Amino acid sequence: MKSVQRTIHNGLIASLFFILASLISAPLHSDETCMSPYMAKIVGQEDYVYVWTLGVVGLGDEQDKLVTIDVNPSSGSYGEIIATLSVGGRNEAHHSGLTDDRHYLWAAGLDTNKIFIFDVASNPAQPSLHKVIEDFPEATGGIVGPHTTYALPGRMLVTGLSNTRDHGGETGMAEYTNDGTYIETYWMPKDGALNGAIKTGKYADGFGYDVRAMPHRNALITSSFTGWNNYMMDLGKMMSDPQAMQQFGNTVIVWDLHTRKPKTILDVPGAPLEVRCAWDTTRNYCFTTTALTSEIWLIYEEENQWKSKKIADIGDASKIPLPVDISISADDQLLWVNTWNDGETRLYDVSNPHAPKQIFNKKIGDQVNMVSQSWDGKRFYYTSSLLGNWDKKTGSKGDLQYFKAFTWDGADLTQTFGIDFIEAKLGLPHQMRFGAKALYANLYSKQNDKRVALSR
Amino acid sequence: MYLMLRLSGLMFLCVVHAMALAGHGHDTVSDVPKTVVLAPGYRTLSYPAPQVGSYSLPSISDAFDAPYLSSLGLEGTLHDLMDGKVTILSFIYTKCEDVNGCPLAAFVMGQIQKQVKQTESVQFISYSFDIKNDTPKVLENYAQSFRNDGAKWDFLTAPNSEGLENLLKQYNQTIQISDGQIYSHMLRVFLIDSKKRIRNIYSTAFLHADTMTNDIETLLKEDHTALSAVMGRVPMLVEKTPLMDKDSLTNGLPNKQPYSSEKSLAELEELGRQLFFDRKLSHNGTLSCGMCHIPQQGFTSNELSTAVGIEGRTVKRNTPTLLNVSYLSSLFHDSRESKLEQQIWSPLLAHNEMGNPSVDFVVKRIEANPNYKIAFRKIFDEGITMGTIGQAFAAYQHTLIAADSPADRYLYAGDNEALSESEKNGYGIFVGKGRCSGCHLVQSNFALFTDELAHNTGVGYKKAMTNNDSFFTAKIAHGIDVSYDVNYVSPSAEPPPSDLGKYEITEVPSDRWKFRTPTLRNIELTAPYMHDGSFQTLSDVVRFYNQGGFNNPLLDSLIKPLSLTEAEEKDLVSFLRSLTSSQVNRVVDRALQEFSPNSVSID
Repeated sequence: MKSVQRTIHNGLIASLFFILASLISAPLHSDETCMSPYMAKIVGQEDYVYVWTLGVVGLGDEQDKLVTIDVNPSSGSYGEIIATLSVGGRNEAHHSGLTDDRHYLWAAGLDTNKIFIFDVASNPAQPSLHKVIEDFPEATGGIVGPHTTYALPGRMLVTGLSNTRDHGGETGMAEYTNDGTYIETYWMPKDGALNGAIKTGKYADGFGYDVRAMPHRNALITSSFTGWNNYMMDLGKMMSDPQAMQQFGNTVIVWDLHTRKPKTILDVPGAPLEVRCAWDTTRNYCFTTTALTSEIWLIYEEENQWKSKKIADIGDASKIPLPVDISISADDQLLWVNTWNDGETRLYDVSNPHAPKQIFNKKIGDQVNMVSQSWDGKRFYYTSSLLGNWDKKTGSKGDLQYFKAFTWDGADLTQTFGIDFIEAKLGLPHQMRFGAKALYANLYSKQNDKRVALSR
Repeated sequence: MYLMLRLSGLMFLCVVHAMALAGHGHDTVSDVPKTVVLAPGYRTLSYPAPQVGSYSLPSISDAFDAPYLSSLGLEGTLHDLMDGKVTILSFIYTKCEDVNGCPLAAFVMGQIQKQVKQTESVQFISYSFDIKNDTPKVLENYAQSFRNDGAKWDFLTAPNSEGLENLLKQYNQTIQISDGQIYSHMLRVFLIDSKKRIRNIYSTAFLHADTMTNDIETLLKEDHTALSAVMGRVPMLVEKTPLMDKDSLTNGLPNKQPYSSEKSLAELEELGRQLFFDRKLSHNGTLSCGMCHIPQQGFTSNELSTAVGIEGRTVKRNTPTLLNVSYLSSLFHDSRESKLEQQIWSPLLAHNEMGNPSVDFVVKRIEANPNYKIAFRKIFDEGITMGTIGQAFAAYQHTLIAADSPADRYLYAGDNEALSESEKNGYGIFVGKGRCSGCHLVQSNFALFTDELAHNTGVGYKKAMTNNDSFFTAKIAHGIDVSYDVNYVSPSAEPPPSDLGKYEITEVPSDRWKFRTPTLRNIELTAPYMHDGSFQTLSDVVRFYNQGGFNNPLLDSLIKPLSLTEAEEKDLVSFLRSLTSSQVNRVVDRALQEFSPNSVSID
């Protein structure tokens, strides 16, 4: 046993532990918890943040790229960009997600429908492009706008936003193997094609957006946004077009996770976007926010029935605050909500999930979208970009398109460093994912001589 | 069913897993943390397992073959074992100490072994990748705990490290080793059907005997025909309607020379159809003609006031319908084209539409598809050129004929019952008090409902010359309005484009804000209305004309206030609705029918 102990000791970096796929209900202070529960998690200090960045006409090389930032304070290049990897084209780079083994980062484009699969295991400081899925709409039977790339065991679930028929909001989700082979498509249930789902209210629009799993309830929860026509359109043009404004989603759907069949269609009008579910297995509820009506909604299970309910207003809806990314704390007590238009992050006490109270807010920049928390809830990272044709074009230096790092002490956010993505000529920064060297230490696959590494 | 830990007599934990859960430091390796959370597989399932046969499991991939060395010292390959049975395959190493790792898999597989009835059709394989420690003898010793009357359970390992390397790669097994000792791996258990296809993958949070037993029984239940039916992806389907009577196809339209070609017309039309729906004919492969001229939306878009082009670039005008475009010689809202063969190059090359950088770029894109190349060569001696591409697109659009509406049958087929009283009243207003037929022409034996000339009704003038309201109330869902001032997003918004209509082509001042009269055929299907899609309903349009349009110094002399009553407005709208062709479904069906395997492939 002692030799095993020493071996294991040698195999670990002193300050970092990690869990591989054994997570069930341990408390987790991390936006890492906002990722799939089937995924390996980083505990302790993260080394890198990978920022999926949208290219801009007239800025730098004008194409989408994966930007790697060193975020470990004990590193010599702390606070610096240590790698950029341009992928060609402006694909409307938006969200990304790791495979369950964290070897690959799937980063998708909402316009061209390409999915760029980056290898972040071979050299976590310098990701490389492993493969590009170029036929997503063709393979899936017509899904456009791969949005959330979500880890299932050995597979990835990719939600869509639109379709090749009319670039409207009807869409589906697709399942792929971890190495990028198509498996199956699941169309969102809609009026006239409910696929066995029960329509509990007024809406069954067939729209999609985000997906989260609640394994202990055998539930998959999806939300709904809008189609390519709207998300690619100039924001001012869209909001002045009453026809276009009718094309937003109004539903959250609860699916049977095991069978991938839709079960319950809930009314959540006003475009419910991100979904975050409570981690404690005695708590059967999730939060979402509605972009157009600026509200927080609760999706909850009561007496074996799933229901939806508005629980709070976020700011003044007529000023179009547009709530975007949200983040739940490990202990399910706190919910962070970013409002894009006023650049604010807001913190809600959701200890009573039916009655949230705003307890803190802070302006992060001229606009704000994504937020990622570290494992221990002490470090926060924010980026600014929402969509290429929706983002603000004018603002203050360093506050318009940025990556900003903060520490949170329970009372206030204090900025530690920031990177101006316009000054750095990179583009519009969006989804962040963490990397850590220790996750890939001593991988058998990376051994130079495998026969020596493990042999009789 | 409470936990029964089968840890092969070794109760030390896998440091990396349970320790972190408990929050212990890495130097407390030898303690079993009291706060370790056991995987769901050890506990009662917290929800009802999906019923056997009520779902299907898609094929994920073929199960990879690999050589093995069994605990009895026999050699073979995995496929030898898998053929004809449902297999649960787990990758293990006997020294695994993680209670939620290999011991979990062993426990769950043991439970399944007890539950599953079809013991001859199911088998278990535990494959150790620890070739250093798990010799056949060690494996056979380990296996003793699992041998019983249930389904067969083999304990295998790799015969050598070459075989091992490939196996780990194929099954995406991540293992971490130090000094030749494995200390961590990603638990994945595979469900493989009798045809050696992987049908499900389970990880720690997902491993449970109840759901897995039901998965096994679901696989055993399915037969091959059912399998192929559920396996294929389901594209978005369109309800197909039967073909209508061809003789009435053009009832109400003028006689004209049908579009002809010295070439084989049917083949040319079909080639044009495929090009029309080919998204690769835009610069970045995202747009085809059919995505702004959507068949199911009247060959226009009902969901946008004005179009959106490549990369979301703004198009300032509403997409005109292509139904009956064959009869027009004034194309675009500003009449800048007269021939379909030429018109196609505008959207193909427009920076804000399909964005192709040059004619040659499009030609080469088409040439790159061997099916197109063959089809063009077959029809045209000159192959793929700017001209022949135009002819193909034109040939297809000439097939989009949709007349024989109730109004046509009333007006031209002598069917007095074709219109209701309200619709007949509406027709009377249309050609009388309403003054509509002044521009939307109706002839004695046909009607295009357009004079194909450009007129100023005031819509364009109002937008350009008055202060437009920034406060909007948008209906975002049935029964729900949101109100906002659009200035709140002005830092994001581009300046609204100006549109001077025909003037932009002629630069003649009297052409300012003149736009071509559109056809009214199928108008019910082609909302929203006007050159900028600023009118959502026909009632809105009728009300606008009843007011006399929007007064301005260049207002067309034919536009005057009409003094229609509310009832007359309603009748007029009823008549407009009666202009919907009986042929639309047929045209849509034909547009969407499956491309045959021998024809060109599109996305």
